[in-house]
Amino acid sequence: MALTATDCVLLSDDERSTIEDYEGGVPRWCTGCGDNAILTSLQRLCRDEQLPQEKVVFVSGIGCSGRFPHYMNTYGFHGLHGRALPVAEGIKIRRPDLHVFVNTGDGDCCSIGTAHWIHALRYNMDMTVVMHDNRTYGLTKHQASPTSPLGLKSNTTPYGADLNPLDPLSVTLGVTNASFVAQAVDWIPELLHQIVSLAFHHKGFSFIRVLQRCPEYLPAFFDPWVQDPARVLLLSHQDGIQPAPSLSRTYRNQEEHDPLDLLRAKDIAAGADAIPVGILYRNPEIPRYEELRKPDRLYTPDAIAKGFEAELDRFTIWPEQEEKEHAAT
Amino acid sequence: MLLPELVRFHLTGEPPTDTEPAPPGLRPAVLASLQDLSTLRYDFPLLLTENGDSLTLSLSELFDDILREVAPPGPSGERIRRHLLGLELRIRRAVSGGEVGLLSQMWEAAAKGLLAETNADEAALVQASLAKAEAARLVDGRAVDCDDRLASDFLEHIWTAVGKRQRLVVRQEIAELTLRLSNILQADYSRSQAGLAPERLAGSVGVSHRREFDFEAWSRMVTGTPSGAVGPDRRRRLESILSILENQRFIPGGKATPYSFRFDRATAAATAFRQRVPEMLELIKAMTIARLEIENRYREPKHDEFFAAFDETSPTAQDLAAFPSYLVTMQAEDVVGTEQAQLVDILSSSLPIKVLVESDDILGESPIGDVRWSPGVGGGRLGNLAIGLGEAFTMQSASSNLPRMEETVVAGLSHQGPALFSVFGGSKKHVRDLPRYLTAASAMRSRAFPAFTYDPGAGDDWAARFRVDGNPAADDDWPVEALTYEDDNLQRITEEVRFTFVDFAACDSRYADHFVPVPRSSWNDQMEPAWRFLNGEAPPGKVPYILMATADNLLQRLVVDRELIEAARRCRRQWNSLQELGGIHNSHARRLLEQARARWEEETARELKEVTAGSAAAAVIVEERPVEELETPPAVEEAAVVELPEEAPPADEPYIETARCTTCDECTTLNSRMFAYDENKQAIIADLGAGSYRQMVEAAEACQVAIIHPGKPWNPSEPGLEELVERAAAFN
Amino acid sequence: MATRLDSPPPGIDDTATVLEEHIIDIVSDSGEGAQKCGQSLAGIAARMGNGIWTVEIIPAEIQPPARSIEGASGNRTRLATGPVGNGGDAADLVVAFNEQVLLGRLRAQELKPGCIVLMENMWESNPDPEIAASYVAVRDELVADGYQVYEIPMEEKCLEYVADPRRGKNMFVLGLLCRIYSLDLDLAREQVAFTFAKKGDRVILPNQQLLQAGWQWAEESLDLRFRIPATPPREPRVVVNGNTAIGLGVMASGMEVCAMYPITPATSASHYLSEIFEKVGGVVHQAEDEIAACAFAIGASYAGKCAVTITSGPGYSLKQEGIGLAVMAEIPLVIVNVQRGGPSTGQPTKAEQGDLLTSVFGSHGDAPKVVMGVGDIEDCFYSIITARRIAETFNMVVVVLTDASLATAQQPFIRPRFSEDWLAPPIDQSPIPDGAEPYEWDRDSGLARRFIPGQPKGMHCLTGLAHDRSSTVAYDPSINQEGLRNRSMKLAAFQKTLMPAAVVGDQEGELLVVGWGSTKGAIEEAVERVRADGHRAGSMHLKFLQPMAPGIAEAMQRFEHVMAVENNYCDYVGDGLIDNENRRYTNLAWMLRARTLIDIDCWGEVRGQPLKPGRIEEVLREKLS
Repeated sequence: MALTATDCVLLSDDERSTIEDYEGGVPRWCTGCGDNAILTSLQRLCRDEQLPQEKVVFVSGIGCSGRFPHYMNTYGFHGLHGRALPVAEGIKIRRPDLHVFVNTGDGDCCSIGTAHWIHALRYNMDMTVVMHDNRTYGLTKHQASPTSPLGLKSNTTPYGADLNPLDPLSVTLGVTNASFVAQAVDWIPELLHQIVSLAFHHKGFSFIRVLQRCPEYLPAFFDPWVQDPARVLLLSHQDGIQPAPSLSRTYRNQEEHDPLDLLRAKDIAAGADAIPVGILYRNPEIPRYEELRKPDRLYTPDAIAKGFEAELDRFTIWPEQEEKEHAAT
Repeated sequence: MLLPELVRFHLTGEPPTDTEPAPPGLRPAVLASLQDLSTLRYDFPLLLTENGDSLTLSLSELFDDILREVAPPGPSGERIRRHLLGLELRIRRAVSGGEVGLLSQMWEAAAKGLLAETNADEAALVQASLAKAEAARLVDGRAVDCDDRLASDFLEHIWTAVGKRQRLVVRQEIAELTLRLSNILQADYSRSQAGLAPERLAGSVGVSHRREFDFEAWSRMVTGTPSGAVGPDRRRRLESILSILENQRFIPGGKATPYSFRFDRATAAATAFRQRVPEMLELIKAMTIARLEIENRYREPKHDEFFAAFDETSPTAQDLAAFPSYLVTMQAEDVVGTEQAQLVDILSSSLPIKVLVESDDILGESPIGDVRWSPGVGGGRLGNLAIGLGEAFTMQSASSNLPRMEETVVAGLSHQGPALFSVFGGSKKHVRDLPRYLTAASAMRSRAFPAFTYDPGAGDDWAARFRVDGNPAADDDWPVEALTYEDDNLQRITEEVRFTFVDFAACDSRYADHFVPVPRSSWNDQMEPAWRFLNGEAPPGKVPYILMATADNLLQRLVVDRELIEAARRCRRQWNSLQELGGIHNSHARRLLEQARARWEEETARELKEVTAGSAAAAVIVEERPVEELETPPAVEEAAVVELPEEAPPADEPYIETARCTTCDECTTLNSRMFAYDENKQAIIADLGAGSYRQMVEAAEACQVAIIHPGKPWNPSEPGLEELVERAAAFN
Repeated sequence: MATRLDSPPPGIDDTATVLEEHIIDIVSDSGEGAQKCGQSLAGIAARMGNGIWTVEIIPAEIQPPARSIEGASGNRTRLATGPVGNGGDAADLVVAFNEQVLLGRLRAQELKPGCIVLMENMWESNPDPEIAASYVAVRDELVADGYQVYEIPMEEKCLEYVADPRRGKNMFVLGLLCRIYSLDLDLAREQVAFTFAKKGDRVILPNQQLLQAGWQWAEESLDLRFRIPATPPREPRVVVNGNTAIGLGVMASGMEVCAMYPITPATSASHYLSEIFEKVGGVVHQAEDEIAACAFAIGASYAGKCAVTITSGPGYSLKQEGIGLAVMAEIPLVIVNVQRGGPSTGQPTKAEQGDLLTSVFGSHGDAPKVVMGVGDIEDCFYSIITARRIAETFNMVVVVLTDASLATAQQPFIRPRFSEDWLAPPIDQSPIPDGAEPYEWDRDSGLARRFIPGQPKGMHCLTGLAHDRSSTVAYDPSINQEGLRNRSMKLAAFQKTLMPAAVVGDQEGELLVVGWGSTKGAIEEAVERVRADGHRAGSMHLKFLQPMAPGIAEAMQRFEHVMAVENNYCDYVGDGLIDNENRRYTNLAWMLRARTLIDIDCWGEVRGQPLKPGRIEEVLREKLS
């Protein structure tokens, strides 16, 4: 990489941020909650990348995941239920210098915010989106979410959920312009961290679904997968995650999957038995909305004045004398 | 003319008594058919395009592109093709006739001419063809021929284009830095008392609302907010760098008239560069500070000191690359004395000075003597010299070859350090019977002036840096040509000849003394083509000759003297060493290869001997393997997963698989002194003594991902151990 | 050349009847160009220095059936000697391309009794006997009712110049009208060239021929000659409609982001902005829905680029949750609501002022925001600039209320002189001083400095939850009280910057009419008419609806009666079950009664049209009697 003197000055700075620098308020999630693993992973990412705290914005909706930005010592935007994505898009459209992260939940993203989710994929703006999927509503105390399994008993489905769950991975992979789709589980933090890091470096909309345990309302739900590593399928690739040998000894169920292979990605997403973990799809070539809509000139008062006067000229009635002068110029 | 006389001439240079002067218009036989270049569709005229994908384009390529678009297969397409080729020919003639200007202008004139000569029946069709072609012609630019202005025009054109691209980026950055710096001041102002004064507020609302507000009251209301974050030191700094950015003279677009970077003397360029260094450093410093300021990364205690000491060593190559390069064009004869010394200094430095040296004579006498003492060293020596200096980009080429050198020239001009472009443009003074293009091309073909490129930025070794592959038949000593002619019996004869340094020298009037024309009646078997002589293939006692054609296309043999043959051999040796540098027939490689083969043969023989000696019963077949394979190490089977030795968990001691911890707070909530987080916020056992075995077992049970292994109790006096050990077993 | 007030222009006979003003309707089937004809007519008159106001006559469907009463498409132009601020009452002259669209205007009572009617005569000879009969019936009815009917061979004449007269009649009619109103033919030619400038001479020349033909025909075959004296303009003026003015306002305000979702009648503002905004570095984002458009604008604004979202009724309802968030988090935001008939889908293309209370009280909980009303076309432009300024100074949501009648109406105003002071200041990225908090509410004004992402040491988590000064979620009841107080206090602070509301006309007397928004011109005209009869009346037009200017109650007390006149619904005592206890008032009347405790009356009408001065005049006379 070619360095400028500015880079040299900055690189020689001895101010290095530690993980504590990115810690905000004390998490008020339940003990044992999978959200903690996600929080740690993103704090580590900020530390690893040495992101200036003021240049990072975490945007969230409502739900347990919505509290995420409060626990980061960066800028945060804890907004409306389901609307984190359009807010994040508005932030990014004219602020390419900001690193935008979005935390959303299975209710926030796949229910009330579905329209925004689909269109955010289409816009493909550069941001990292973590969908905390614990397959139930936690903050409102246990109602069925769109990703709750068939038959799940909850406060709104006391006799068991009636509908098949929505599969966020298949939906995402089916949307035009989807450019980065990954799945992680909170109980393999090493891979969660690799995936978060790959997502951050992807230029475009990176969507990570994190399967995350809710110790309060679905305490044993993920046990079959947590306890049986054979039921987790690691998708390894040189352009994807690369499990360490020690992890590979536990997780022997692995597949070499090229993240550019969309067809295979769709098959994997639709597969029923094992939980796939890794990068399902990544295509760095898809154009980004904020780039497409980037102004091709600097937004200066002069430029505005010129553009404005030119527009007024189209609608102006000049007095006779001035008309001649105006025509002459 | 008798053979002994010719032998004597060859050996001593003393011409036979009955030598007749060479007929006028003699030219190398292989070039005989190329007398009128304007009928040929070749690399010239060349367009220095103003708007195209490439920076240059030959007229014939342009017409081919147009024809592909507007002339479909079939009779109508044929007609269009005919019309447009007629147009092309007219433009070509105009350019070779010395016209200069934009293609569009010549096109217009040629189209008029074409129409004027078309009969009335076809005029409408021609008009239609011309209109189609005009619409399909998307590029314009100056049309140039292979003449004495070519090299400087070509280089300046590419230099301008490359510079424009580079400058656009820098110009944008400077504009953006300027804007963003003034934004800092503007934002500060808008929050200040002055920015919120009643009259400012009044100006900031719509005209139809001016009467709706009490701006005094408004101003009082909003000054309660804090303001004025930019302190006096920072303001001074911002204003000073803003002024530098706005008044710089390196990149057009600022307030001041930009500097010129075009020179005709190396000394002048070097002087200008040195004089501008302080200003350049100021600008780099201002840009460096500006980037820090914009990101709020300027720390006064630290950076004030750094920037106070900012000097020539501070900028990086990337910083310097933002600045325009200096272009010098010189004639070879002017590279003498101080200019020569300065040029060597420049080429040994890292200054961004690009020098074009044009020569139109490479066979001329050198200051130290005539051809006897310094044959064929003229323009070639500068290129060879520059290579030796190591870090200067060097390109040598005949002007005829320039259309193929666009990419190389772009690379040389983009190279961060100095560059030398040494170009031979064809001699007009001493070679009257050949067009410049052919003289230049002949210089390259005959290896008198081979083309090469040395790009120190392309890599660290010669293989990456040096190329000679632009030369015709670069693998050979001299390119093979097929010469076809009719003999006395009107039989068509094709003969293989090689175009050598001797053939090239024969075109130069100053070398006439080295040749004796031999009338056809005196041709005999003792005469041998000169190239065989040079190759050492000629038996003793023979005399070398070359073939040339007279003005009326009759073949002539010219016997060559020994001195010129010697000069030609020297030329070949120089060419051979260039080839070696370029990776052709590399002697080091050949030697290494031979040694390796010998070693391998020796070893194989020994092994064979040992095997046959050891076991007479078993017949062993040793397969012969190619040498290359020996060089590669035996393939290692790569394991899919590199197995690491199992971490031997201490059987009795408690431990946590920290890398798998999900930071779920279960254990730390249980006992925050016993369990803690590491620098990645993952659990570790911080102090065993701070808790009990019971807590350890409970933590293991509570752990969501079962990564806590309690081990054996460490305090035998703890109550209820038996039960705990049993519970712990599931986690050990 | 221009017409002088005192004498007819050279070359024009002075047998023409001199008029103060005339209202001209041109109606056709959709696609026959009556709108273009009317706009051009207005353009020519404006160039001569006449006062104009144009109103588009819009069918609700994109392609209504031909020859239908509800399909009338066209333009009303009010031409006057001096400036005009509304479209007036009923037409003095109507041009109809078929009798059905004419019938539409007649039934809607848009024609003055006995007015001049110019009818395309081709229908009489239509091969379909029903059509021919229908034409004859309408014509005869009009004649019988005393209308001055002229039958014009538009099709026949146009066929001499163009193959498809459907595409040429409008320019023929323009020529006709130019002759009737003694407008300058050279200016008319220029106007035609200007109108078709994009299409080039191939289109301009035949249209100029048609113009000439219309003029010629009127010269030879019509005895109608009017002249409305004009004062040549001394200053450059611009002629645009309200939505275009909004687009220009966004550009001139320095806002860089507009997020929107298509909705009638707001969309044309975004159309225009999309065309021009990128040229100066702005972006119009068409979001996936109204909610996203609002959230997107909030995101951009939060990141330092104050944004605007432009919408109409249903879209405005959808944005309420977002508006609440912007209020709670104190994010500046400009929302333009081009009002249409409601509730629900209501009347998408029709004018109404029914969203005032929604705008003031919209979003759940106490959500104080600034609400502005727009009085005319010039105001459309300047309101956006002012709104951006208020939004960013007070970190508030500013709602700008315009409506369907202003959206398409045209009125000349003095060409704005661009000022850099209009522009939003650059994003502040300076470090936040140590110890400063993101909601450092000033005790008196409730104002706090806004922290923008990128500012070092300003990190905090903005939230829609109740929060304290450090933006920490508040569980302490007193903190919620404090937050609500401060956000309300900002409104009070802003109110303190307002000048007392001005009364136009008599400053005390019998009747004060209070209005807001697009009714300004009609109300002022109606008040002038009753004053002309000796009544002592005045009017007050409120540009700020929330908060309101000081001095309103005091002004009201100077009059015997006060009446709010609005283009929205209210009950009338005596109508069915309505009495003084259950009567519901017009929007502004509700607010004024609550604020001033003065028992003011109101009158409102929701006929989908701008209020007419004549109708208001009637109401005022009734009140005064």
